[in-house]
Amino acid sequence: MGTATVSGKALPAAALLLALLVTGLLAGCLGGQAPERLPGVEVREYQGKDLSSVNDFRENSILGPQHVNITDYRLTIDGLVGEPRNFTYDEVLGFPPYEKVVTLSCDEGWDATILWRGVKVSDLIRAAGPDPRANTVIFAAADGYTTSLPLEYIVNRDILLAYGMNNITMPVERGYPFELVAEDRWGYKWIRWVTGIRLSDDPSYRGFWESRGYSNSGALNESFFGD
Amino acid sequence: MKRRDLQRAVGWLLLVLALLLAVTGLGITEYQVITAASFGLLGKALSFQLHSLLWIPFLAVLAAHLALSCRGGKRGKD
Repeated sequence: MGTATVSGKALPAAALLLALLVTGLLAGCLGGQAPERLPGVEVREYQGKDLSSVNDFRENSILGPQHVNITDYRLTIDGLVGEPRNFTYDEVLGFPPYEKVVTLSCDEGWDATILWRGVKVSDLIRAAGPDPRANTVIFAAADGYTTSLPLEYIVNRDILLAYGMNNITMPVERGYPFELVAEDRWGYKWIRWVTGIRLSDDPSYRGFWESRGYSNSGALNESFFGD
Repeated sequence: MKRRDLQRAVGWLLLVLALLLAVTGLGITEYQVITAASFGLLGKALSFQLHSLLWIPFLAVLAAHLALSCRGGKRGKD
């Protein structure tokens, strides 16, 4: 009898404990804290290919790393377009993302192979309605640096405006918020801290280094001096 | 010109060329510093052009310097 009495008291207590446990679990899952997003970890290998580190770059910008205030940041697309656009950082990230493994070759003699993540420049240009006369894309950066590339190259090669490197957000030193992934072009065409994209019909436009004697094409299979 | 004077002239020329090679090399990799230190005279592009030209006279003068030194050394031993 005594045993029966103990069981009679233990049963509601166990049920109460179980109910508390379930309630606690549900509260944790449904109404509790959202999981904290931790910083990404840099990948160093992709599809069997070794990648360089985001720290494997020499600092060689004209005015040092630019600390862009992302809340005020706007990416301007203007020039020969139907409707000039000013995209916020999040609006740019709203375009379809693409990934590519591309090697940056610097004229100083070093290179770095990175998994780049970004949006197609052609998608951004398309959103502004390019004028049929446009044949050159002029890029401008937060530090006053400029460079240009043919529109045909930008479109046909699916050139990316990257915001991620090796699965992490692009570091400030590398060009946060955006760096141009000008594949098969010398490093001085890989403009960082991009703030503006202008469409032009002037293929002879020369950017910062180009106006100081560097090649305007910047093709990797040619010398970076001349033309 | 005496051999000794020629050796000295070649030695000084070699020193100048070696320094120019070093400075123009730094003008490529540390162009911000070198451009500022030269008051804008030696920029990255000019450094590149000079650096890629200087190795030819540098090697020629280095060879002359070695040849003169070796011949001078043998004569000294005799």
